[in-house]
Amino acid sequence: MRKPVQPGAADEVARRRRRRLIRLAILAAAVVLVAVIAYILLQPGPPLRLLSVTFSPDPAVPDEPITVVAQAQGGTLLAPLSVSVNGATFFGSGYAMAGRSLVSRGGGSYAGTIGPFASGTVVWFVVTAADGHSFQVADSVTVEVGPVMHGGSSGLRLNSVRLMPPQPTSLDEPVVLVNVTSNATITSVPFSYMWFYAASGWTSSGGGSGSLTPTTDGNYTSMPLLGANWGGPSAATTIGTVWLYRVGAEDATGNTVLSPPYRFTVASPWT
Amino acid sequence: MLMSESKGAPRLRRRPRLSPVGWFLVLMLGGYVLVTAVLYWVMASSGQGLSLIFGVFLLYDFALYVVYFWLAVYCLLEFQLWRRMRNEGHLLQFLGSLLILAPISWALITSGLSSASSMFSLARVALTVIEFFALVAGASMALYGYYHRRFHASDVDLYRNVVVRSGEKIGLLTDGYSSRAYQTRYEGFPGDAVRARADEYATRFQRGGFLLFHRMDATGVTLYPITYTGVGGFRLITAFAHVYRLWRQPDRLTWVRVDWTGDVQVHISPEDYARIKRPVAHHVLCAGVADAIAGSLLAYARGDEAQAVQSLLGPEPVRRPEDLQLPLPRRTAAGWVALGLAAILLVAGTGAAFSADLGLGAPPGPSIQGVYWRPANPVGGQPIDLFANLTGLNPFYGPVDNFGVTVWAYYNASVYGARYLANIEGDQYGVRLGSFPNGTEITFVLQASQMAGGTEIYSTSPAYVLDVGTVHRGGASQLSIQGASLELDSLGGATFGAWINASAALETTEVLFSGYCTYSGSQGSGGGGLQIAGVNLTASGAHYRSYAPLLTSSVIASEHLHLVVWYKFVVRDVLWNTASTPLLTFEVSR
Repeated sequence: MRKPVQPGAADEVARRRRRRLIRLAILAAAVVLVAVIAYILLQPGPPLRLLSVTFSPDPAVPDEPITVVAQAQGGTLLAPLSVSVNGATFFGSGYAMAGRSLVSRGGGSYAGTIGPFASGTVVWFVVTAADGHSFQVADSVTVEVGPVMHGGSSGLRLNSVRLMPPQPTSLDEPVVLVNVTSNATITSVPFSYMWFYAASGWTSSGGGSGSLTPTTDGNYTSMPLLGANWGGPSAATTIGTVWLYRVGAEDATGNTVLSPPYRFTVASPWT
Repeated sequence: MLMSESKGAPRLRRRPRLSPVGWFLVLMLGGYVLVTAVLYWVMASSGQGLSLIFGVFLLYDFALYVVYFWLAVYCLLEFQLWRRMRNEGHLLQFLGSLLILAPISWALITSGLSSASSMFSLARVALTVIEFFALVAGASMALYGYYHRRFHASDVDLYRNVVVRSGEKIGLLTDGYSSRAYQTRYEGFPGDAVRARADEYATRFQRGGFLLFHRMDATGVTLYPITYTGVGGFRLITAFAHVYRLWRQPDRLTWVRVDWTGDVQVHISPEDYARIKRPVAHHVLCAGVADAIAGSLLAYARGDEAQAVQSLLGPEPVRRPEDLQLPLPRRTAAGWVALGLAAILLVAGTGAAFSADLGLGAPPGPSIQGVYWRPANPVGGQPIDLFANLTGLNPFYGPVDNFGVTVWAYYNASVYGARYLANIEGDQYGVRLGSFPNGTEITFVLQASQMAGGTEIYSTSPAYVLDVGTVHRGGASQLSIQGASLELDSLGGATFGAWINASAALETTEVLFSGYCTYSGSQGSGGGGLQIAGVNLTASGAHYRSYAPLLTSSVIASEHLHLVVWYKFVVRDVLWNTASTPLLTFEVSR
């Protein structure tokens, strides 16, 4: 019978040396792996950009949700890109619309649905992208769901939409002043606003809707947007916060008119 | 000595199963993945399946507590094994399981946190970090102690003790277990040589993971081979039984008594005997165990350590030379590191738990600083902007809930109210107080609050007074206010009173007041600000007084009430000379 070969002392030394080399190699590989992961994590991403915003179906169909698709770039592994849609509705189905996040579909594409909306509604939405340090607000998108009457014979028109003061600071209490005329009775003057804030690792946004209060003939005013009337400390009043607002009007003939979106940035009270 | 090899002997499978800590980690991480997956699924399905997530949470918690209980038994057993053997593998497993279990006791210490703010104190954060390190260190220690071959401290090593290994040497025999001790005798036994090294042998083989413990006397030595505790296989009853036997009934375990004369007695426990799956005659098995132990002892006595180990390893061929090495008599670096690390983590964790309970390092709550207004000396009609910094917020509770200013403007204005301060940038806040006519005096107090775990933490600034234009004081009429007082009645109303003297007729006599309260009791709980008002005083000679309701009768009757009333008397005579008290504070706390 063949006897097994017993390992000699030289073999044992070589084996120990080999084992030590393997351990060192594993350690070096772990260090390299950690360094590579850290390098990847700390790589700056592409600049934050919203490349396009589309919606479907176009034209929108009453009582069916609208799919919003945004193409965006930016963010890193540590501060991933977050894309949201905020908006408001006018006329047909009330004035409020909660903001929601768009889900990544890969390749920089983000999608989500809003609605459904009743026929006669005008939807105003804005897509924003944020990476925790900065944010970008895309151009407003206006979608008419079904037939919306505007430019009718009643001559409904927004003669003026003014923000007073025009460049508000955190301490101002700006109001939106509107002058509306129509040959028919004006039934409502809806008003919606949104605000967006981003700084040092966090973002915040909000919005609201309501009707403007009539003052004198054809003149309407909003509640104060900033200042002490805001109701408590909020990013809404912080320097650099971007505000968007829009005013509409509807008269007894069903004729409607909608202002373009207006925008202002909260200024410093010290300058 | 029986050294023959059986061809059918099973191969030694070194690590066939997870250690208890391995199971704990698998369950904890696997359960976490499962719970997270279900949570995401519930979120993706817009809130449907909420009952499922509760069920999964309950199941996960239940399973985790069962495993914690199992770990507690494991910890006890490993302690008993280490206490008997001084084997570092069992020491590492004991310390590791202790470190994993320690956060439970720390949680008990901090469960009675009285101050809500201490929930997120520095000490609490430190405790969380220590808990994490205790888990990682504990798991690492226990797994290292269990899996490292040098320690012979895994379930397999416990299972395959000398009895099982001796049983594996035996071919097909008949069953014949007996609880009586088997006796045999070795002729020509070198008793003196064995006696000289028996204690050293037993101690080193205990540390090496082969023996539980030993007893030595004048006539011989009794050696207790390692025993299978059952805890690794989740056999809790077996584990409990072994905890008790290790503690109080070691003679019910397997033992071998070697007398210096060569007489050997062998007792094999029923559990060890039952673990041999082949039918084995009791006396043959005992003879095998006696040969193994006595052979090992003899080999050690003549200085052959490798053979001493080989005798206890059964028929399995030993392929690695280090498997035949015994640990050094001294504690190794691994043991010292484990002991030091465990001691540091246990002491630090316990200290952090008590510190967290006491709320040490908790942020002090909102603090109002740097109050100023612009313009510094306003004149009539100029808008006055008020600024302040708000610091000391506990970041765990998010932004401040409320930051407002209570304002009384009097003499040439009658403005009593509160306004919120708006966040301007960072911790800077501001509010436009408005514009006031010349001769108006303004008193204001800033107050911020932050909700901390169900309790509102308040911070109040001192009262500030600013003049708009010129406010006359100290005129020739010698207007003065003395003996200001406030009496609260059982209906929640306040009677304000003061002595007012002047040589001229009085034109304005007012008391301004506000404040805040929190209350709780059988009628309910709540809190908030009092009305901000100014009421005229009624004269009774030179004594002026006024009554105002502050609280409802149910609030004033609450068992626990904290009430702060600010009040201030302001007077002006017909010569427009003015006088006022500071903003006084009346406080009830019960």
